[in-house]
Amino acid sequence: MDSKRHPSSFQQLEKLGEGTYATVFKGRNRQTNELVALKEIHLDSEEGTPSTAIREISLMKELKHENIVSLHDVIHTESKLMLVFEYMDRDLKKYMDLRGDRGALDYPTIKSFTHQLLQGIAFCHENRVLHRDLKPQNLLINNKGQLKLADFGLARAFGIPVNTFSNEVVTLWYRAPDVLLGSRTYNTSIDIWSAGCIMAEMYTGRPLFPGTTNEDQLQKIFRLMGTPSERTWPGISMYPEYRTSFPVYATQELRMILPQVDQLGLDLLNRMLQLRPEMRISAKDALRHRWFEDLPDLRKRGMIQAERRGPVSGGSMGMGY
Amino acid sequence: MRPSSHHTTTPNSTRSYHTSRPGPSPERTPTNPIPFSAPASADSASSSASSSFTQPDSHTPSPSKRRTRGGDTPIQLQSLSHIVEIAKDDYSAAVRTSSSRGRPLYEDRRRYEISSMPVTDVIEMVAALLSKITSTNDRQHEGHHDRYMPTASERLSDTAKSVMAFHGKNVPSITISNYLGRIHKYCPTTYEVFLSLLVYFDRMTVLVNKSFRHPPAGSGNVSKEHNPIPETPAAATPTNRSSLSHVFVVDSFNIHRLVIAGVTAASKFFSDVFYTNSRYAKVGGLPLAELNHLEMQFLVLNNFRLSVTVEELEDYGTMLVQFYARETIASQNLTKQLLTPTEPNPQQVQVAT
Repeated sequence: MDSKRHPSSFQQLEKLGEGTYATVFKGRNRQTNELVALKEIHLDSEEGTPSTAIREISLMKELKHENIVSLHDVIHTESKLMLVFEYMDRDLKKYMDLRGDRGALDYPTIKSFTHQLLQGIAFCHENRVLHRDLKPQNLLINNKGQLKLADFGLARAFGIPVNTFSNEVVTLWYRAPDVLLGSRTYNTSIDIWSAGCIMAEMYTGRPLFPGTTNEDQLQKIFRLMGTPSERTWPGISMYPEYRTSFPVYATQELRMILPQVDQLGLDLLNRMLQLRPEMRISAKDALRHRWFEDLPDLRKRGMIQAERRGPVSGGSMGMGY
Repeated sequence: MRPSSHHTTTPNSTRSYHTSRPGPSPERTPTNPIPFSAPASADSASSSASSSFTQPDSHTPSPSKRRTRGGDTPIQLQSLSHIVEIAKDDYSAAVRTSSSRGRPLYEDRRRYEISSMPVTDVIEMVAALLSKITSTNDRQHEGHHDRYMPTASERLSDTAKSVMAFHGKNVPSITISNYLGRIHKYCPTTYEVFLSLLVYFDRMTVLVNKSFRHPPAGSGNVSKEHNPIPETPAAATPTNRSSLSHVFVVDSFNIHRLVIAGVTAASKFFSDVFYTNSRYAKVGGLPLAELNHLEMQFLVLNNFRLSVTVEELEDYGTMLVQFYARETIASQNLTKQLLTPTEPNPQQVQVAT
């Protein structure tokens, strides 16, 4: 069992962010002096221990990987739970705002971050865990140029038969079309769609599909990827939210809206952003894609942005934990 | 962070449910309002009563470590009658061949898949196993039911406090089977929530008892290959009464609280649709504050690790089926013996006179 530690073992520094369920503080371990992130979860009497906390702790105790934020400790009192995470300097959203050219990142950094993102996802999927809430705010970056997956509050184990899956998962802009259409039998491919949206966003500094409602989100996707039909997506009419009245759009070429992406990069993006979930590339296969062939060389030449520059002042991390 | 959870409550809170995102699927909304007087009245002893648990033995490691996974596909079971059918066939075949092969009766090496069975059938099997474990442990610890009560000056470890939280002053009158049935009736959930209880009880046993002077060979309460009931080795019986509070055993004094706390926590982990703790408390027949405390202690005693692999669930499912089949055969044989008239043996008659 975790050694019973007291909240006073950590010095609470500035507040990093606040949400419905928790408040995140920067902290310092009084014994080791190392910086940590302290996620304080308020225990509601009606709800007891939040499901988000149960899942986050349970899954993160199993998922130990260099591209997944590390959970050091769990401290509990009658009124609150405190999760002690490794400290990360900022989330990808803040990083793009601070480092990017109007949000856009440079080519070597995009490649490095995409590779690390896929490594984290692949590890989750190998261990039969769906993250289900991948977005720039939930990807944390440190000053060594490492990217790590965080906030496993919506994650869940998969593979056990006869499960009840919610379709209210993933922040709208990064939500896969099959989930938007009401699927409750989704799988690892939902995380790959999110990863594709994030990769595109690193190139432009703007979200690829910034929808306002479920319908608007689908429309924005179809405007670029083309409106699917039974011919292009057999079985689509069986989805609960499918409408024959969807506006019909022709497929656009990704290079028209992402001219800065090279041919191999576009190929990988196309494979991640397939409308049909079964056609989407797996994280494992994506890591073997030829686009990543020059990554070791870029690293050797010190081309990765986060490794080249020193720390950026200001802009504390938000609620990525 | 995500938006706050959505609660729907009828005037007397009989239909509150909780989902991790707004609105559950319609089929999950409970159709039966909860009776106001829940039968499993919780004579709470969280703070006052102490536990008198004795170390359960385990000569076989837990299923997940024990079973080697062959390439054979598991047998998909449809119902309890399907299990009984297979068990009868196997038993008949075993009776015919046991004398020549010298192998024990009902030695089953196959794997079973129970996910297609009705949840009520899985509950019946889980209840049968837990009932057997609790009654066996009760018999073994009859002498200790005065329960060690720590004095004000004595300090208990955090683990001991967590263990003691589940110990009631009295045994609830509702059977384990009826209690599990009641939970499923008013808070319906999927089979893995009930099956995972066996995994968690095993983990808790290992976690708590490994710090004890004579640790068990494997995990303790649930996972037995041919004898799923723990035996208490003399060596593991504490000599110092104060050490009793540091040991965890599933018995009639804690099983109901362990079950309701386990279902509350497990449903949040496994399912995207679950109920509020206030509903589970009402269904389980204990105060909300106590359930919240028990849920936290359940998590603590599992080291906050509720992940269960598919293989582990499959192994525990197989173990459960084998237990149920053996019990069914044993009870049917006993019935047969009682109903079959036998000629009195002259020697026996002589001895009797």
